[in-house]
Amino acid sequence: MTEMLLIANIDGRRAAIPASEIASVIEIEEIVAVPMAPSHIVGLTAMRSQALTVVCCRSSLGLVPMQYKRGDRAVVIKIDGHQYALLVDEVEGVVMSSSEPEPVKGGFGEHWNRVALGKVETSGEPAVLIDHKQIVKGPQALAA
Amino acid sequence: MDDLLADFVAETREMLESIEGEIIAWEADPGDRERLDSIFRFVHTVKGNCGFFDFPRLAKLSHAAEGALGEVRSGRRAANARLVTAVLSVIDRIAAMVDAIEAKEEFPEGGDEMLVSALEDSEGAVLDVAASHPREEVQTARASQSSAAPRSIRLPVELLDRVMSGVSDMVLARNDLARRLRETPDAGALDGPFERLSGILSEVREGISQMRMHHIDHLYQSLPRLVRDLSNELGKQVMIDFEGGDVELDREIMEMIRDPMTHLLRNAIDHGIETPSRRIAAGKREIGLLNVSARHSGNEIRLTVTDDGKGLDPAKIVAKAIETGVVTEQEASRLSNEEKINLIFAPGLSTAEEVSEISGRGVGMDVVRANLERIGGSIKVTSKPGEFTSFQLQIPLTLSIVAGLTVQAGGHQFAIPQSYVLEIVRRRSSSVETTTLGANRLVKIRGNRIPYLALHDVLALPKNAGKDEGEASDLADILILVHVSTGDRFALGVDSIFDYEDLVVKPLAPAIMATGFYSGSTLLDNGTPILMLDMREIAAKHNLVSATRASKSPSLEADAKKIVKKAAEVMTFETFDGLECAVRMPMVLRIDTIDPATIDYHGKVAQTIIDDRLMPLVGIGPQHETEETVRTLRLSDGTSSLLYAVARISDTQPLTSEIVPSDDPAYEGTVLLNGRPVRLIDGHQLFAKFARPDEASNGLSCALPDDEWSKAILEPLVVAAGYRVERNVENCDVAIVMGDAPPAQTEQAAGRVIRLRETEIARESEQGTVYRYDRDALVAALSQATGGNAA
Repeated sequence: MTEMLLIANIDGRRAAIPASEIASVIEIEEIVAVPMAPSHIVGLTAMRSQALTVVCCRSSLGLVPMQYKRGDRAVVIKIDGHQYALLVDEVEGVVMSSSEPEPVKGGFGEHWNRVALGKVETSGEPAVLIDHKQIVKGPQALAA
Repeated sequence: MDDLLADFVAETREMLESIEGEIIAWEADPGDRERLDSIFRFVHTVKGNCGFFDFPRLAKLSHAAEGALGEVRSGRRAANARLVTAVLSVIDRIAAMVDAIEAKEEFPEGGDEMLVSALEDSEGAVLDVAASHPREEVQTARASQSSAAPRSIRLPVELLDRVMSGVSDMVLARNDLARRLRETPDAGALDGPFERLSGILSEVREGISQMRMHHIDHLYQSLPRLVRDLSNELGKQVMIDFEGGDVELDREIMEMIRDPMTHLLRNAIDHGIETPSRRIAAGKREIGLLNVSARHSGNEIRLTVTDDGKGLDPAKIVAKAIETGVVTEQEASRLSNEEKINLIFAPGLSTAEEVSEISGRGVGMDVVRANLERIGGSIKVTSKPGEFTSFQLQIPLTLSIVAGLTVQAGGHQFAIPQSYVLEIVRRRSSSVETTTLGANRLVKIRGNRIPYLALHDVLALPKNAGKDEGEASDLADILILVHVSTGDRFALGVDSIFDYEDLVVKPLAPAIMATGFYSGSTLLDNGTPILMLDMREIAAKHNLVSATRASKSPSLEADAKKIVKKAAEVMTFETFDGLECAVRMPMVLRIDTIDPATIDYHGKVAQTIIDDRLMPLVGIGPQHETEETVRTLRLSDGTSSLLYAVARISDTQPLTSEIVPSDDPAYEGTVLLNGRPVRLIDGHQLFAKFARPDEASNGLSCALPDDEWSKAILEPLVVAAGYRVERNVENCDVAIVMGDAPPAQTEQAAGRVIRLRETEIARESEQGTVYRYDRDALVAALSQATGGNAA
């Protein structure tokens, strides 16, 4: 089975999210911080008069957080009625997958294993298919 | 087919709901043909629909009920309690089956025949219908039915919600547009259409909010059945009475208060209302009375649940509270009776001597209170032993739009629901003392020591960067006095406050909710998202909401009482002449804002019209004439009042310094406030000079002749002199009569009599009379006549 995938760049790696899960890709304007929130929750931002929760993908993976700036891209997804904007380093574009997601021997490494669903082949290089719900959950899910 | 089935389920439910009350009413009066007919129609309709859908069991049940009711209708059979119970059981079973149909589940086999035979042979059958119909099952059927009740508006609820949130978004988009229009030069041509858009939008918004509204009758409908079942079970006789069924309530809120209401009624019947024999012994009517009333009050609904039962026993509640460690004996001794009975809302307190099946379901009054507070409501109780118990619930009208105060702390903006804000204290203008106890701080506001939390500390934010670190006190500039629940208050320090706004609150993502600091988010007019603070949680995190909430307030009040030598308070302001003045607080009745057009500067003292009365206006003269509205202090000495125009009102503060006498008679002297000299207005002098007595302030009455001249010309003069016009000559203090009045009229007069004459020059027979247009003589005669009384 093939599907449309959005390829984004997180910490220099290619990550794929099924396009069917994505509402839109936005450019970040202002982010209002949420004090006391988990570290991967960057804050709130407004999109077409709706508040989105901004999640930093790098922090969620336990990596060094992104220093975001205006105009940075974020992938908008919806989980249980809440909208999230996933901050990524870069959005490459939408491609067609050419394989089913499959595991990789040795896994994806300490940071990526939690969110990775498997390796997918695309027309270009392969990418890690990631579970956007895990990204939103953040690293605390590990402890739980 | 699925659509038809859904319609059938919805329709049956709707009918079930409206029929409930009818059945109870029918039981009370079996001769009521109308009720009987509507119940008959219900089972008939169900039977008809079942045939179409092929639900043989449902058809059989409704057919049996229809048959039995038909016999009653035709007079072949009398309705008795047994029949009513049997019909009720059938209707319950229908409801349960409908639920099963909707859930696409199989309804458990069996039981139908017993119900049917109970209907058929009401005389002979000895079988116990209730036993064949386990209580739990009824309960679950009821529960699922009630939760689905609002769906009966025949519109997918989701659609309604989507439209609602769409309109909320439109409002936000409109606000965004407004902001951009303001920033755009030469957008004048768009103003008209934009205004129109705004107008239409607010209308739509109002309409949409009304779509969410339901008559509270909807909630009431399910209660008579509950009361009937419970009172039967407990061998009590209870009548329930509803008021204000047309009050409208957000349907979401209605669902959220359903459980608390049910619990209150259960409690009232179980613990409040006595058994018939006890009631008779206590000299009451055999039948207990429950009253549920609802009314609008500003932005909230007030619901009252009252029973005329045995009331709450403060001693018992306190004993229990001490036993469970909710309060200490010492604390308890200081509580008033009202505070004592409100302890029933403390967690872990159940006063029933034995936990009964009805109310002892592990749901205490603390849960009732918590549920209400979750939606921004509150509850309290009043009671008189032996007479009544009354629960007063306050419930917000709607959940989604909250009046909020926007504040800033540590460089971030937040919103606080207005319902929590008691008062805003600006530290700069009033002296606030602080004490540090251990790691916690208390501030003293008007004699009360109140826990203090700085919002930036709570949220671990940096201190406001613009603030001078060297300042002696590190208290925030603005203290918001917050009350979280009865008696629990704290002061929240913020850097600045902005405005009160109606905020459309949206839920937050779970990860943010989990922090426990926020209750939602909203967008400001300029499109920035902002977080709504969850004041209850914040207070709870800092142990500011204790289990013994009720016991907190008296200690605060006790503190206040201890400070006997409380300093006198003054209000400081700036006069139109630019002087800083103060006036003693007890003299200030209120602050009025008046329209400059109503000020009349002619005469020695300016005057203005307020509440349709002319009032002297001091502190302003022709030289200050202004186009802007004028702020005035309304001062009163108890009997008369006057207005004092001020350029600016500064603050109220305690009068701590000595009063240095002044040689200007208008001032008591000069006082030192915040290190500045302030003139203290001499109230005595002020009133002596300018006060105009309030209407009829001399308390004397005057009788007048009953003719046109007296009414048109004499009466205003007499009223202006401070007299009340009295028609009855016998009761007046002074009577004015025409010189030619018959003596009989003057003899009746209880007080003094003033005779008036027609001509300016008195004739011989008119000695001692006053010419009717001689104003001074008339006033003098009046004061002379009443001189003895007035003194």
